[in-house]
Formats: sequence, structure tokens, C-alpha cells
Amino acid sequence: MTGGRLSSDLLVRALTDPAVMENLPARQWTELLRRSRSAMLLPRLSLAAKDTGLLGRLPMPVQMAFRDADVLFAENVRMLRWETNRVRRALFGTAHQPILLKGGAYVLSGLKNGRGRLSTDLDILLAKADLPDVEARLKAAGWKSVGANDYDDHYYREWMHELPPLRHENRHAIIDVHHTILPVTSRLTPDAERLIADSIPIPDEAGTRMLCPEDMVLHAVLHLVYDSDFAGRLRDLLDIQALIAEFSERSDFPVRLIARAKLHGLEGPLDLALNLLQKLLGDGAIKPKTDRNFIPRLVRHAILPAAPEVRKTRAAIARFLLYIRSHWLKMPPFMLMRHLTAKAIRNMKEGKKEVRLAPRAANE
Amino acid sequence: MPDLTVGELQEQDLRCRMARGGLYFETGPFVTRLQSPIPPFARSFQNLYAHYPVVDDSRIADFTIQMSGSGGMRRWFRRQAIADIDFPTPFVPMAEAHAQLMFEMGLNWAVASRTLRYLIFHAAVVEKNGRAVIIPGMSGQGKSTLCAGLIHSGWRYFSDEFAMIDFDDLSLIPYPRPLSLKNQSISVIRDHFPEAEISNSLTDTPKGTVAYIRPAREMMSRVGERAQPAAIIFPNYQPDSEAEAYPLKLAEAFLVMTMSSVNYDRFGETSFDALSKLIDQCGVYNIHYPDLKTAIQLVEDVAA
Repeated sequence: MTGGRLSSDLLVRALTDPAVMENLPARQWTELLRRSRSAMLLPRLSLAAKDTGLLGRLPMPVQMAFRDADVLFAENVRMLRWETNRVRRALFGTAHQPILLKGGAYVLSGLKNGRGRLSTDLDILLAKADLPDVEARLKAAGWKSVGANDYDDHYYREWMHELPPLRHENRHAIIDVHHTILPVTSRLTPDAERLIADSIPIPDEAGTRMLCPEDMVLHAVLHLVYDSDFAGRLRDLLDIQALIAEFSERSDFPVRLIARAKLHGLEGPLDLALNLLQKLLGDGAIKPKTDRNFIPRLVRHAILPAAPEVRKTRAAIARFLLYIRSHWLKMPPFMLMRHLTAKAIRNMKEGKKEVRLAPRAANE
Repeated sequence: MPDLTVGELQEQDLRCRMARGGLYFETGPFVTRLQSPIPPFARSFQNLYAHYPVVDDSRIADFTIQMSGSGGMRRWFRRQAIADIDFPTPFVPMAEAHAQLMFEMGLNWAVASRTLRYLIFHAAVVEKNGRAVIIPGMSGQGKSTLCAGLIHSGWRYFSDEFAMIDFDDLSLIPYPRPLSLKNQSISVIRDHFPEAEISNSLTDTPKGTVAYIRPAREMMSRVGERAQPAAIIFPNYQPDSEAEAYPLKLAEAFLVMTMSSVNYDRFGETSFDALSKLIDQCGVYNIHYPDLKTAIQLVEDVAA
């Protein structure tokens, strides 16, 4: 397990060089389809096959799986558009202009990175001072806090950068309402006022905005570096790669990105993300300042497919370490202990793992 | 006829496949890959799926279902089983004796949540003379009992669980699986159709007592042949009722069909158009009946 590249991962290879999809043996297809699904990347793989004219030459079961994936993506786009529309309606007549984050922004603003990109929910950002009014209006329009016991509610409101997730009572789609892009308890504190002040309107969605390109990349960076959920890690990594490539059509983008990271005090996470791009995807579009190896290796183990038993254990350890790390970064040590203890006790009492279903997962 | 069926495998071979790369078998249009380390489950599976074609891993699997048993202390008492379908599910482990039910639920969940190439209704489907009948129904209204009655009365078995419709030509795709009977319906079918191949009953499951009808060899012989839908019939079993069939108004039919679908709301305009055409093409009826024989006759009359 020397070298950190993910090039041994068939999914990464198929996405970066779709030609490898031709002549894959059936067994590898079975695994590739499973892996793409669990990484939420099947629609993107399907588009890669279409864009390169490969689709008609692929085995029929693959073409059918891609058809499922195209419908899934179309459904996801419809969900993002409609939920955005409903949010705008709930905030109609006020001066609040929600800033769409992540998938919502990529898809609705027509960024290339939005193509085939699945979102589990709609994320929006507003000024902290506006949140009480926004929350009240959303609740009046049918959204309810999800599964909030008192501890969760306290956790979100006091320590996090977002309200407890809101689920609409009829449509079941979830929105996350943020007031900044990192938990308030983190050591790093990006400048939320500048995030909002420098945001830009989304052309075809009047009344909604998105982060400026540099902030959009930095937000994706924080998501990759801080999040304790691993299902979407590879997708996060590919987001950053694609966004940087897309925005670098302006030649001064790398310089602006680094300057912006400095302004927010996020040089560290950006440097780590650039290390991850370089070491895991072999993408050196922007050279990192320092050379980091330990975290890239952990991340690699955490996001590799867990097929053989050895890898499973290694992945479990890597995930555990990253989980601890993600919380360590977000909270001071004493608070971290309190939080993990509270969660452990609750899990023991309820005897189950926390699972957040994708909004369309359940039909029965 | 297939080269090899599940029932023809040596028990050792079957268990080996399940324990390693997986047993690949065909269910209707899909290839399912099943991995399981649970010996009692292998036996019940082989019994119920005896006539299903086995394929090898030169075919691409549409679904991978991994059954897992108990570890730790549970290895020694109250053994459990759970199905993993590469997808978040709300399942909790069940008793190992109910592993078959766990598997069926897992595969159903995988098909219902992931198959977006077809419009799918929660319904039984049978066919005679090229005319297919869709029998939707919530649990307890008699869908499976009526389906079991029909397939032992000269109708071809399409499905007990999902009516799968091709968007291009509205044809129904056969997807026969072991037909699940619950509670009283088990003895009803035993009494009426002694020839039905019914499994041992699983008692005290989350769904009450469950038994499965094994699809007979001849039921599996035309599994590639689709059919056009001719009627949609909502069954209503009522012990004291008169036999009665009445048509639903178009709008009412449309509405109840959207509620019977597991994926209607995922396609936007496409499924609206498909369902509109389906309702135009089929008569949609409610039937009320006091017993199974009457119900079968009503279906014959309505679908003729």
C-alpha cells in the first residue's frame, strides 16, 4: 500500500478515463455499479459514458442501470428546483435571499460540476441575524425540525453552523439552513459576512444567490476535510477538482483562491485538500505549499471500496480516526468528550445506528 | 429451458457459491447475486427458488443481496439475520428462522427503490390469452390470495408483488417470485388448491404467520414473454358481501393508481403520461366478494 493514488480504484479510473469502461469483464461491472451507487456517482458515470459516445457499446444491463441513474438524477434536479421554489415562496415578501450551497448551487446555476451530481438535501445559507425569522417562516410553511430531541436541538443551536435539519411535512425533502460554513465551535472562523457580501445572484433563479467561485471551492474543501460522513467523500473530492478546473478558465483563479483562503483563515484546510487532490487523484493543478502524507493515506483507506476483509478493517480504523479528527477540529476537547459521550449513551439506549435516509430512499 | 436451476445444484455447491462470490440467479428481467453464510436459509431458499435459472458471474448482477448472520454472543443463542442491499434500509435484524422473509423484503426493497426503468405498482399480475390483469392492493385486502387462486385456475403467474410496466409500449414484464401468503390465507389456499406447493409457515414474524408458494416449473417457463394490460382490478374481500364488480371513474382510477405505485412520483411528466395511457387502455374495477371462488369468477368476467 505504498503511494497514495486512487488510480487503483476502478470507479476513479472510469470517471477520469471513460474508455476503460469498454471491455470490462462482467464481474468488474457488477462491482463498479455497486461502488458507483454507494458513492452516489452512478449518474456521473452514466454521463461520462454518453459524453464519450460509449453508451451504445456497453452491455445491456449497464445501459439499463445508467437509465435508472439518469432518471434518479432528473428526479434530484426536480427536487432541488422545487424545494428552492418552495423556500422562495415561504420567504416571499421579505428581503431574505437564500444563498444555495453545494449541489443546489452547482445544479441550478448550470455549472459543469452540477451534471450528474446527486444531493441528499437542499443546503442554504443566510445571515445569522435573519435565522429566527427565516425559521419561523419555513415552519409556518410546513417544515418541521427532524427528530430533534433536546440534546440534538441544543447541539445544533449552540455549537453548529446550522439549524437542526428541517423536513417538509408533506414532501419529506430536507433542507439544512446554515449561517456560516463551519461550526461556531471550530478553531477556524471563516468570515461569514464576507461570504454573504460577496455572494452572487443565480441567473435563472431570481431571489437566490450562490457563493462567489473562490468561496464555493473553499466550502467544498471544508466539507471534504471536516465532514464525518464518508459516503460522499469521493464525490466531495471530485467536486473540488471539477470546480477548480471549471473556474480556472480565468487564469488568475488559483491566486485569487489562495488569497481568499487567507482572508477566511482557511489556508490549512485548502492546503490539505490540494494535497489530497495531488496524492489521491494525481491532480496538481494548484500546487500545495506543504507536503502532507498521513491524512491523505487515511482518507484513501476510508473511501476505497471495502471488498476484502483486510481492507475492511483498515477502512474501519481510518474512518474512526477521521471521525475523531473531524470532531476534534470542530470542538474544544472538553466539549468533544461531552458530545461523544452523550451520543454513545443515546446509541446504547436506542440500540441502533443513526441513519439518515436519502429523501427518496423509502417508498413503503 | 434453462441449463441449470437452483434446485439442481448440489447442496454443497449452492452453499459454496453463497459463501464466496455469490449465487447468481435470474428473477424475471433481473440477475440477482446472493451471498449468505446462513445454512438454514440456504435450504429454504433452494426449496422456494428450485425452478429459477442459475447463471454464472459472466453475467452482470442487477442486485447484490448480502445476508449476514449473528456474530459475538448472538452466535450461541437467538441467532439473527439481516439483509444488506448496498443501500440504506430501515430494516432491523430478524430471527434466523425468518431469514427467508428478510431476504424477500430486502430484494423487494432493492427493486422498488432502485428500478427507475419501469413504472412499478404494488400489485399482483396474472395473464390469460395475452390479456394481463393488474391486481393492486394494500396488505390484507386479498391481493395475494386472489393471485394464488388465479394461478391455480389457468392464469399465468406474472408477479405477486410488482406490476412492472415498460414506458415505451406499456407492456407488463413478468417478475415471478415466491408468492407470499399471510395468516388465514394460507389455509384458504391449502383447502382450495391441495396441489399448490406451499412452504412451512414462519410464525410470529413482524407480518404475522407467513408461508410461500413455490412457483412451479411450468409457471417459470414463459418468464420472458410480456403481455399488454387489459384490466386493473381492486380486490375487496368482505365475508358477507354480494358478488359485485363496478368500474371506477377515470379520475378516481388515476388517483388510486398513483397511490398504488411505488415510484410514480419519481418521473415527473413521463409517469403522468404513461399512467394516463394505461387508464385509457384498461378498464379499472372494484370487486367485492365473499369467497375466493366468486372472486376468481369475477376476474374472469371482468377481464374477458
